[in-house]
Amino acid sequence: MDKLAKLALLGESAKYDVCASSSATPKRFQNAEIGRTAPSGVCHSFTPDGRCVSLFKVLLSNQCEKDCLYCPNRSARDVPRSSFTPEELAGLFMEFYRRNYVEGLFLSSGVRHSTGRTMQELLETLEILRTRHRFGGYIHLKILPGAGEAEVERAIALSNRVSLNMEAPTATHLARLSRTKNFAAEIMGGLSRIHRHLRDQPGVSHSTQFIVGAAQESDRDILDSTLRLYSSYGLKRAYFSTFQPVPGTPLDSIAGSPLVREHRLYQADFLYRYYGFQMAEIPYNSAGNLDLDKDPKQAFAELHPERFPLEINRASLLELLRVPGIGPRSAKKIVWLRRENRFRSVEDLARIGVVTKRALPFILVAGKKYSSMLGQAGLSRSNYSQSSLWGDDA
Amino acid sequence: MIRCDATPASMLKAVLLSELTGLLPEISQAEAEANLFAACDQLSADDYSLEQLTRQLAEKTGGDYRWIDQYPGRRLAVMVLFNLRNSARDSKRVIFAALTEAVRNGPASSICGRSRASAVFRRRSREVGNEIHRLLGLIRFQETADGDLVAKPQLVHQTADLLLRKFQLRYPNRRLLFILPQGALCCQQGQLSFCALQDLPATVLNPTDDFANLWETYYRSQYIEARKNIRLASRFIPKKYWDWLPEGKILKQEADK
Ligand code: SF4
Repeated sequence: MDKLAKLALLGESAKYDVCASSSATPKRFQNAEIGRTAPSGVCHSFTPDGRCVSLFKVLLSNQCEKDCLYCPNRSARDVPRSSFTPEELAGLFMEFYRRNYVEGLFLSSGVRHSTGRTMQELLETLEILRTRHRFGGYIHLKILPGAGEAEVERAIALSNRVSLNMEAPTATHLARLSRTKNFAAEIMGGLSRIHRHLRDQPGVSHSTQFIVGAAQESDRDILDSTLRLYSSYGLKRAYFSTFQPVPGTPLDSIAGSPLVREHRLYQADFLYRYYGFQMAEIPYNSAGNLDLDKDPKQAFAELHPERFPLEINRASLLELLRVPGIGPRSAKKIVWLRRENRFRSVEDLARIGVVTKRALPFILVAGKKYSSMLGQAGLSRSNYSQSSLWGDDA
Repeated sequence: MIRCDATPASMLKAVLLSELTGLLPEISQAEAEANLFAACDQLSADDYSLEQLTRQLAEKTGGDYRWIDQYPGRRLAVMVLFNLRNSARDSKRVIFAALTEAVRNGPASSICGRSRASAVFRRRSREVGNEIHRLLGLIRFQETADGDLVAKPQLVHQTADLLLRKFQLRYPNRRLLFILPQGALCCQQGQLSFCALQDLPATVLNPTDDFANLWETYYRSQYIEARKNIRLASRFIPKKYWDWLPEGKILKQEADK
């Protein structure tokens, strides 16, 4: 297979992986001659589906000995197979990078022959980039489930970010997606190995990815698992990827999840990471899912009329962050600006980026209310339940 | 009248001096134009130091101007620079208004764009910032036989030098060239130089580095058709760039389907 055909096949095989070069904490590689990480992600293009092309996302090989039931690369599937050599892949990536088509590399692979051997080939690719090409830019390496201690350590030394995909929130859910992946040993064991080795490597972070909607998991299952990873495994970021059935796989008859579900999960995750929400405050319906028709922050505000309206000139930063239509940036600006002058008009708020249409039902501006919460469509407490700190499921 | 240069520091000094004297700040033009105002009172902002001016103004108004040396001052300076680079014609008027507002009311209002005037100042600064951020990703280089990296950027604002300096961090050992309508801007080891297009060899003006095929193959491989969302894609890559980028024709095809 020629280079172009391999690129088409192995690029396509990696397209469902989600990654970003943003939040790249600087890490300097000695003797780097080319490449640099950018603190905020740089997008080099967008595909017609609106997803950013930032990293050169490719598999080293789409040959795989495993049989994950959703995966286009599973061993039992009759598809063309190919692999790059480490040398070939490193050279091809540098061609893209030199011309500024990509911000860095996202490298993953099917499990060819064995986990150990494939990990060696992945690491060899990175060694070539760091030592021969003297590449100092961004590399995200996907660690294979079951990778050993030494491999994880080396991967972290050569990368800016590593990841190991959870795919599903619990062992029970994972069993519905794969007969060969071992949740406790390969996934959780791998994540704790990564966490341990990351302590010695400042500037490197780790992330994970969930497939949403293939294992009958609820949003609460996914977000609870994410919280555990943030708090106990030092996870930097979780990605959520809506399940898309792949023809010729055992799960091809399952309907794909609506894309908006993925969006709501990100919104809830952001509430936890940037808005000071506790996971227990996220409102779910009785099935443990987020409302697809409503932003979870809006749902929270409607569920708690006793907390609103808030006077914009007095509310604390944390309180402001709970108002729909006010994001972390506008909240900080409000706090800063009102030290100079009180807010007197709605126009002032609009000009600094507050989405006033959404915020007005929940705020007072200089004591004046401009819109009523009762006018909010779909305000019905019975649709929601607040997750209990003591665990509703117990 | 107070004369100053079109630089953030000089313009800020002119505004401080204006608050002290009541004279209007103005950017120095050609000699001939300066002579037009020969009969008027003229001060030069750069004859004074920032420290001198802020001390005197603090004595006069009782205000606190320490923010000028701190983060808000640095942030405001970047915003002034970006406004100066914006292609809008009345940028000086907008900058003087925003700086005056900052000196009178504190910097937050101008930085956050709270008043109508400072909202324009902030928007224009963001337009330039966004162009830099977006084009850092969208500009693609061609490689010449000598290893130079050449690009033909599509710029709305005067950001070429700012972009080249950022690219130089990524490619520290390469000579980088932007081919612009008015000539070529070159950056090598952090030094910028300008040269006429007719002085450049054909290998630089039209490099034969054909990478489009590889890029298109890769770009197509990343597209998930089930998620097609042209509206979202064109929010990130506005249509004005579609004829300039190689993948623009794929976006167009998908938009027409
Ligand atoms: S291990 Fe599973 S998910 Fe990964 S490539 Fe192989 S079959 Fe696919």
